[in-house]
Amino acid sequence: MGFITQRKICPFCENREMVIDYKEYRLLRKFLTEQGKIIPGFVTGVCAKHQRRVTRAVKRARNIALLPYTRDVRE
Amino acid sequence: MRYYESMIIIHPALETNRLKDLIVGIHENLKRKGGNVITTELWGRKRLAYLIDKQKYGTYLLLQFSGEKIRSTDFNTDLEHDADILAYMTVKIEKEQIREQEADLDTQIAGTAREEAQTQSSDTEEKAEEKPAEETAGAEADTETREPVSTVVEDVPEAAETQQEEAPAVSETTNADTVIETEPAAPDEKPED
Repeated sequence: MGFITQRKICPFCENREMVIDYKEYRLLRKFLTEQGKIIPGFVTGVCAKHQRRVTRAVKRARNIALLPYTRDVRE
Repeated sequence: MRYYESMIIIHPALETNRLKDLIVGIHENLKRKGGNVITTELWGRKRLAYLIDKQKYGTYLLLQFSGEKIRSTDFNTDLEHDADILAYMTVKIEKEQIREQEADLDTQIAGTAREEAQTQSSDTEEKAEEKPAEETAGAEADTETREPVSTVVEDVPEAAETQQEEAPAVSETTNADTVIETEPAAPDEKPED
């Protein structure tokens, strides 16, 4: 079957010391596709509460050019 | 008391003295508006994820300040009208997010100037070798100053692998380090075929 093999644990719930912040753009890259899209929580295992924070942080990082809005994967 | 944080991208070609003048000017401007600067962090010259005013690089500056009745529009308008500032973003933060000032401004400026000289020399060396080396030089320039995030999400690579079966577009999620190296294409660009 497709994606759901076993229940994933939210990495941010598991490790409370991880900070979701737009300045931690290297961490946020793990939640982006190669194209720069935000990966949905059910794929990465991030819970809804933290996914909202990840989304906000990614959007802030994009605004200040720390992360790309898009990237052409053909290049 | 409210706490704010401004991330400012300054023009990369600014000399050390002018950079200091600019930062001091921003401080004074904030004080005039009733703010109190708590932390100033100079991140140094970094590669931008996309071009801003035709610039590939920018000097990042992080300002944390407090204030009671700061009109953010006033402050932002001043930043907007400054030709040396490429982009800026002001957000509200909690008191717990305030960072400690590690070094004074002069030390930070001196440090970033030294790093810049090193990156520029390595850039020119690699350009002299061959053209494709440009991308790696960009990657090196990107991996400076800031400490790496120590915690690694263990679940994500697994997630990416499972995703690979059905959606190949997401397959290289874990290689996202390369994302920032090239400028994004214009959003309205159409496929060549």
